[in-house]
Amino acid sequence: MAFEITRPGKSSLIVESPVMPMAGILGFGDVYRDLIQYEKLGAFVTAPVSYTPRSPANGQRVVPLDAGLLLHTGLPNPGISKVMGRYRSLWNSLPMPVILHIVATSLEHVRKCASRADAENAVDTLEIGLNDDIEPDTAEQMIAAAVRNTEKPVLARIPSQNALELARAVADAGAGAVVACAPPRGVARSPLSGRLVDGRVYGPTIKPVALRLVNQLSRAIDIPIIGAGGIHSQQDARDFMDAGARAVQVDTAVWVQPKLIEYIARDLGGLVVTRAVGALPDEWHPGMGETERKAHEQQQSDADDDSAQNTPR
Amino acid sequence: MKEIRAIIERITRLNEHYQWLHLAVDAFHADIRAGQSLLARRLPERWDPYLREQWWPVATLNQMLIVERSGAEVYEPGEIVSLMGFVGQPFRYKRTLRNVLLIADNTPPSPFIMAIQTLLANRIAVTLVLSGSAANYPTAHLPPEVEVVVADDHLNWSNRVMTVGWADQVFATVAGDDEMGRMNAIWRIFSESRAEVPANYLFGVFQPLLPCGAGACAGCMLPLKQGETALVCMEGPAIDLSTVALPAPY
Repeated sequence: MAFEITRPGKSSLIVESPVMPMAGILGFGDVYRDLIQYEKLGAFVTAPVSYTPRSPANGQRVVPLDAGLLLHTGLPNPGISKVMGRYRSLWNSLPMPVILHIVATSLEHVRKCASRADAENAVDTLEIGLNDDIEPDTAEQMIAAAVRNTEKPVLARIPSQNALELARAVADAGAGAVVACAPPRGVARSPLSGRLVDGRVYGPTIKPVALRLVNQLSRAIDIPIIGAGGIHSQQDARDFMDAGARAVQVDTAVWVQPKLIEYIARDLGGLVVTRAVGALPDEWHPGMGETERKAHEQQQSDADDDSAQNTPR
Repeated sequence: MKEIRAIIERITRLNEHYQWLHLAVDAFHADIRAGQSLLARRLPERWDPYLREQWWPVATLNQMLIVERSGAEVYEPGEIVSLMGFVGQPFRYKRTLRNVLLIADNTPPSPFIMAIQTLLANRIAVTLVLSGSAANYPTAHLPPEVEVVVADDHLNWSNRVMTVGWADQVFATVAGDDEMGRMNAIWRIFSESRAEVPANYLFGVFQPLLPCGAGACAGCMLPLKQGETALVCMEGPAIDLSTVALPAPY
């Protein structure tokens, strides 16, 4: 099944499944290859990349919340040139399109990143991550700068605040789709240090906010919307599609339960099958455990022996 | 990294503060080595608590993995848990290692318990320093060959200069309230006690909260000297402190 998840045109992004990870969830490459079948995902969204290197944030970076977490990493990365050098061949080998997430630090950096990524065959699409406090005019300029400097589709990831105006602005600027929305910012007290930490909030409680936003945007703009925020089940993902999203991005649920994104991809990609009677858990939850795999092999071996014995000589 | 379901076969209570869980696991996970850990999640699936917990193995026996947990947590034999691992790399020792110093500063020495068995089996002398709240850790279950030293809250103990002098390699773990600041304090103790702190001598055993444990989230990224970085979940938990860009003293 093919899904066109950006606006139609000379360069649009067509994926096999409308499910992908949010930027940064699978890192820069294949760290989750043993846990997730990447072939089932529609696209791979890279960890955030900036034009110049960024260092990790100081102090506490993770605060566990009742149902979620607050994370403040500082978006560390070695800069686009080093990232491309390190991961180009890996991204070329991935079985799905690669979406390069660019941190919109400044107009000039967005322009340079887009120009740099345009020359890379390993990158299929750009996703521009806009700041939380960005003005619609600036957002329009950022996306326009990216669009002018690449032939590849450009996605705009917008924050939840002022989303309607921002979405209209980036649509006017030529964005291929809007990713709604970036995880909201929050402050929480670290149980370890006792200090307040500022960061992005993740968890299932984000979903109602993001869902409402996607529904609003789907009626306000005429470019595709990729829903993101708090998806923690197949039904959550279907809710976003019902609300008007063309595709979804799954965030931190992957860290807690890696297989979940694969299940959602199967579900939304039209790959849901009925579980066979007597199917072993491994067949349904691939990679779950050695015990099940061995039992399955033993069962196959027994079946082969039986059929050999039953073969007339 | 793999994800499996493990069964809690047995629970051994060390004292009112700590307990050991005996987990039936597959052959892969039973092959865990000292320094490596697992990310655990209790079943049935719920989103509260959200993050997986880091579980440190203390021993393996046949297909059984024993982990150390707080005595305040309630587990039942037969309970199933989801385990992801391995997180991190095994501890790397010097070839010429004869004496090793392990320091736990205001945190249980759980990351070291499995290493102690390996070290003693290789006839390496082990000294374990318990500082601050770590002094409450029960040591009766440790092999008698281990020298246990109790230090005060400021990492002072008798014969500290001598202990630091004879150690061929040092591993230190600290409380998570200010992990970098506490590591810096340990670095200062050794740099003041020795003419120089060579490479591959003093290792910080970092235990930050790990959202992913797989190298994706950057939540455990350490700044190194010369602008480099290291992921504790991939390259740690033991990182050579001579390479870490430690902050100003706290």
